[in-house]
Amino acid sequence: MSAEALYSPQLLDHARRPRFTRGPPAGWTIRGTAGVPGCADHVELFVVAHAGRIVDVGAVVQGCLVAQAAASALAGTLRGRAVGEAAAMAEPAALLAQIRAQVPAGRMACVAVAGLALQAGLRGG
Amino acid sequence: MSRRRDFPCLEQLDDQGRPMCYLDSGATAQRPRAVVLAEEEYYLQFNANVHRSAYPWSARATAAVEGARAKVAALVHAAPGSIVWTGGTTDALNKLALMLSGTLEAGDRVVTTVMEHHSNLLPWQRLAARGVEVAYADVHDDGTLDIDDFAAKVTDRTKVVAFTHQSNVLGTINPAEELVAIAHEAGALAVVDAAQSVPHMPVDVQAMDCDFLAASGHKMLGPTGVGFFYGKPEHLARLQPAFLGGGIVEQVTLEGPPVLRPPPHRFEAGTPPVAQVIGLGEAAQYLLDLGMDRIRAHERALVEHALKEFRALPGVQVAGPPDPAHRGGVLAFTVRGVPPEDVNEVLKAEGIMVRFGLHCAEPLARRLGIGPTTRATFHVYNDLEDVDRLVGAVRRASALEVAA
Repeated sequence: MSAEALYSPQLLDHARRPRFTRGPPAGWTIRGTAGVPGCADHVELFVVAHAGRIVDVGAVVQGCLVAQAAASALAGTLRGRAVGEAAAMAEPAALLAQIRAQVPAGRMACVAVAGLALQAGLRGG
Repeated sequence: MSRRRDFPCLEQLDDQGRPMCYLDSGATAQRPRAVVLAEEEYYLQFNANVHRSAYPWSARATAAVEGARAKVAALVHAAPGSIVWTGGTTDALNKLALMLSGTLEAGDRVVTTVMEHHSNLLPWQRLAARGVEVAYADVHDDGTLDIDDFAAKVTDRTKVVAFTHQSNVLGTINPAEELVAIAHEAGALAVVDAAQSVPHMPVDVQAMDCDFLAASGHKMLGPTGVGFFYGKPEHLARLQPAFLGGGIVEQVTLEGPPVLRPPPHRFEAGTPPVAQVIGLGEAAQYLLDLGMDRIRAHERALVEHALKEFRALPGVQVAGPPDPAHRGGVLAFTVRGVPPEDVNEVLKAEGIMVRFGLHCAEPLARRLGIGPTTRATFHVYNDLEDVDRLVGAVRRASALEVAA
């Protein structure tokens, strides 16, 4: 696989201009964390919801560009959604479509980690 | 001096028709054909156990294992009887820590350094549970050992000093003779982790005057699962083996204790890895034939070229001493705004094999504040073309830069 197929312009754009607020946004109501076993990727995700709608998403992402871009894509998708719809947005396939990257199987965990952090937050941890 | 033609793995082309660019010898080296054939010859022609049986195959296997011991001994300028087979450096250092622990009391001190591989930290740290104090000599920011701090930490309660001859992350070559002298002045024994030096440079245990020295077969062009430690004969004569079993005894009674065979056999309980030992002997001979001075000069030229090229790459930071005279063929680096996992992805796509992470030296990464790095390491089969491919790929990886 070529590096260009993985590091698509969309992936790099998300990694360079993340759609999430860096760090915990004021008034967050949901917080979740997730890591990738055996690798340095770790995401802490924050959601600010008003009247059942997501108005802001914050994140602290430690890890590779793929994890950073996927967290950004997730944040962009979540804004304006109902909290009840959020879990479905965390599917890796949906995030991959946004970052237009051909991610090798060995790095799909990097795509998934932000979604896992969201799901952990929705479960209350 | 590139010796690619001796290494069958490197004669292959990758799936895009490019020559193999193997820059991970610090993790494990390639094997020359002669090493593989030596192991094969044992399995196909005289497969038998050693030291125990009185038929020709066993005699030949025994002679091959003892011949290998002589070759490895010659490589480090030791007497064959002072070379003990182990499973590798990690196994050797653990055995040495276990054996020496019997001579340590609560309040005694072991001094090591913050640049150690975990294999030369954890076996000593475990002794802390028995009241032994473990102290760590610091490094300077340029990745060289702080000799003053080392000397200050070697107090008169220090019984063992254990340090790496060459850092597996920084490439730093430590002044082993000087460090051993500091240990001896305090009455301490000096244990040298030579896993990264024996395969790459002249190592002379007599000149170094170390008490023990350990290395791994698989990093010195030999097989996996085998290594050795050197021990001064007077220490081997008095130390008790860490493991007991067949092959190390002259007499066993139910009343005990056993009468042990003389060194080195008393430290080799059980059947040794015969094929691997024979392969390791062949690897030692291969290195001797090439000449360790020439190998060191070759790798120094590669690392010098790499350092010069890397300095011209914006945002690329190389860890370790800037002077190639003080470093081996190791190049650990970071690329600004590009995590090592992504640097590796670009290198992988270009057919370059390196390693990224903390390289089993987490305290060192923390001390230097560098975190995970990408590491390229060289050996006899690498050439300037490999270095140039690496430099080109790192330049392309740096284009992915993302502002932190």
